[in-house]
Amino acid sequence: MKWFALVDCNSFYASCEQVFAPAIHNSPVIVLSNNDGCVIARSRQAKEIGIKMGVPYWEIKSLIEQKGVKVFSSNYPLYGSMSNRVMNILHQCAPEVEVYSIDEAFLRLDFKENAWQEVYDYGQNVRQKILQWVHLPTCVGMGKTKTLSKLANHIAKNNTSEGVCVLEADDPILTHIPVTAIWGIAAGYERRLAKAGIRTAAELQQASETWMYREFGVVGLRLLKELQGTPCYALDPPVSSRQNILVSRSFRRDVYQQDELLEAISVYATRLAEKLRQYQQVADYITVFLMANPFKNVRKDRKQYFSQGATLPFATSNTNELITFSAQLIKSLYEAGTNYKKAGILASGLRPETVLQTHLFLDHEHVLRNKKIMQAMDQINRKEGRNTVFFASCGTQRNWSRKEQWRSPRYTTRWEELLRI
Amino acid sequence: MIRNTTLVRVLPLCKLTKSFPLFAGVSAGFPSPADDYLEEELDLNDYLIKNPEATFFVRVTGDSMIRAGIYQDDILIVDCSLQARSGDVIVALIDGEFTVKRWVRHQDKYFLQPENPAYKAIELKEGCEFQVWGVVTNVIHKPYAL
Repeated sequence: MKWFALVDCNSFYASCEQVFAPAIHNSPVIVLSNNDGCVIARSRQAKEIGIKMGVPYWEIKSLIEQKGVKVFSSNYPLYGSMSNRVMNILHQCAPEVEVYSIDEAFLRLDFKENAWQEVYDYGQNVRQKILQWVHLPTCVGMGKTKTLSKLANHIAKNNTSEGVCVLEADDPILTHIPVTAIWGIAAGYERRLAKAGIRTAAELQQASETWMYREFGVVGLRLLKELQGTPCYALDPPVSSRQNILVSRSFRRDVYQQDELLEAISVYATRLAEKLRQYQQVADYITVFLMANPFKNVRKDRKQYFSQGATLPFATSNTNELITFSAQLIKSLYEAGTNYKKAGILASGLRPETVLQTHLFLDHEHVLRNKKIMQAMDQINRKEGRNTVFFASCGTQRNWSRKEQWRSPRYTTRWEELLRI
Repeated sequence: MIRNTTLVRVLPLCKLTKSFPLFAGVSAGFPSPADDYLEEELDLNDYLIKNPEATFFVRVTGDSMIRAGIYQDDILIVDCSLQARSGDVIVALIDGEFTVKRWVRHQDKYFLQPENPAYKAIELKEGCEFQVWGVVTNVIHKPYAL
């Protein structure tokens, strides 16, 4: 019998912080977005005192002081490393894994008919293993379709204290589960379902196929079948090639100077080039964009968003070339007297570097030499830490770079930031 | 120096990074007789880390474990997947704080035993919040400042 499991880390970013700071294990913990703007993760205790997802930091400042909430800036090197560990553990536990996001993955499993106890024990084992090996709490939902496993995970998280839920399509608990808990039911769906008198998962299971198809199309029909226990979705294969890569950040403060914008865009172009090379892809179209501060826009025309794209003369993943082209775009976009808050580069038209289209006037010797330089740079930066070697146009001051007042040490990726015991 | 004299004596050629055998390029003279016998260089990661997913590096503060060869600023390799046995050096959580000690079972009592006569053993009594975080598998001590 085929089963799906959805393994999901509880309050992932907040939990990662707690692994290395046991004194705050039972405290409310929040993690803030880039530039310490909004809340993007909350520990259970932080949820309990009413901190909502996405609220701006300044709005809850007094609550934070009053309740002794521990605040962290986002520490993506740490979260990425912990996520990799969890995903590698899952790959050891199951023959097929689909990494669904930084903190959740679907597993595909085989069990004997009606072996619910075995299924349940498997879920507990996975949970136990991740807890012992990397000290992260998880919930495991198990069902015969992806939709049921996702719903089981929701139940494991909200309706039980065991952390594991094995859900069959005829489970009576579904009469208590609102349709909003089902994967893929957006707010619009909910209203239309409510009009037809459907409020719970069990009620939705009773809907007719023709009605679902008429109302919600083929996606709705699949959702119904999955909810009834007939699998319509398989595991997605790992992403090998993507269509676009975006690198963008907000600045710590408003930026007025073209020089500072050029520095920023050089850093983003560097990161973009690294990403392209990591996926062994090249881009032949880039779009550079700038955003003015929307809250105190000093422009007369109130314009906020400025962007320009360009087809590159040849597809590339070379840092130097991407810096040069994006700097040209910045120069044509820049207007003095505007307070810029954010910048970014989007690379599109990506293809594998192996099908690199040759350019009539391109010097191959030169291309090969450049490729070697990029490989050397990547190697040094991987080994010695990001930005050990960089192009001078990226600047050394980086006054515009983001604010991360409360970032914890990068415990797993920097020698000089190891946990002290 | 890795605290294992045997290792230091017999393995003079080890690198911390993954390295691959160098193939002798095409040369005009005779081919190297060693070409068919090339093996990968020794990799300390293989030797020190059995389970990378569950392994963390931590840096030592304090002198409570000097008799176990663990000094201030040493790096400990901690494997959290191992089941601690009595006598193992472990990283433990006690009342919300990290500590490194030897975990000892004596009759029916459990202790966190320091390795320095200036410190007392901590008995693990009912009611104290205690958890084995991981087992220390190796100590990296650098007598030579690079």
